[in-house]
Amino acid sequence: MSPRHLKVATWIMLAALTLIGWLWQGGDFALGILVGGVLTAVNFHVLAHVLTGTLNRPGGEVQKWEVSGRQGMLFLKNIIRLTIMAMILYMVVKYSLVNIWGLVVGLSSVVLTLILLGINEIRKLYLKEAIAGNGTSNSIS
Amino acid sequence: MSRKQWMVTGMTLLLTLLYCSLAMAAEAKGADAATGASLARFFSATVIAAGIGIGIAAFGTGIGQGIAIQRAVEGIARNPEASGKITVTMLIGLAMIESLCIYALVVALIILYAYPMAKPIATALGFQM
Repeated sequence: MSPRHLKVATWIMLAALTLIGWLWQGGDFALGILVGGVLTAVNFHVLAHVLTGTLNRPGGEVQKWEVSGRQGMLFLKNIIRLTIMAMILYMVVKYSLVNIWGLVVGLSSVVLTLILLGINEIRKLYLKEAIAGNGTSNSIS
Repeated sequence: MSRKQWMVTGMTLLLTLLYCSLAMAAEAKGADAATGASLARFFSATVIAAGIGIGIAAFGTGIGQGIAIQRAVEGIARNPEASGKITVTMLIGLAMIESLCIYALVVALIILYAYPMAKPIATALGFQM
């Protein structure tokens, strides 16, 4: 499972949840899901971008990175990400811009995606073991 | 966590609780003042609940994410070739841990600004909102 796979799955899940919310509760609820989902998906994308860029560096680059004092930037990026998230949530909840329960469902979209992908991976693993556990590599006739 | 850190944490918690009791100890005189005091106590309690809730969530999230990143960095240092897989697994873990804190933030904001029971309670205490 690659980060790109995760990102695409998150957007698909968000679209599906928004559609279900719109059909089930109407536009206000669907807007809540969309706002919450976009917030959490963008938050996840930025987290993935920052961490992947930080941890997957070749040795020489890491030294250059340490010398140039960009470790502080990592910290700053995280603080900015969380502050923007908190400010948007504050505005949305305080002024009741969207349905609160829709917002909560939308905020759960990434977690739901990860749980579903995890279940899918486990299912694949069990299926693989079940096939390998036949006791023979030859086909059973 | 060392003994000193435990003591500092405990003392901070104790001081916070002492201030809470002082804030809630003020008793007003008269019927109107009594209902006003009840309302003030109710809203003070909601503010304290929101603060303590998000504080505990941030505390747990910080510890959880710290441990996850520590283990991931150790794993990458031992086996740099596996950094891609380790990073993806860590990202999944971090997203799930962070969502808990975001839920706590939303619940705290709901308690503060969009608590559905605030209006009925204020009406029951004789206030028109």
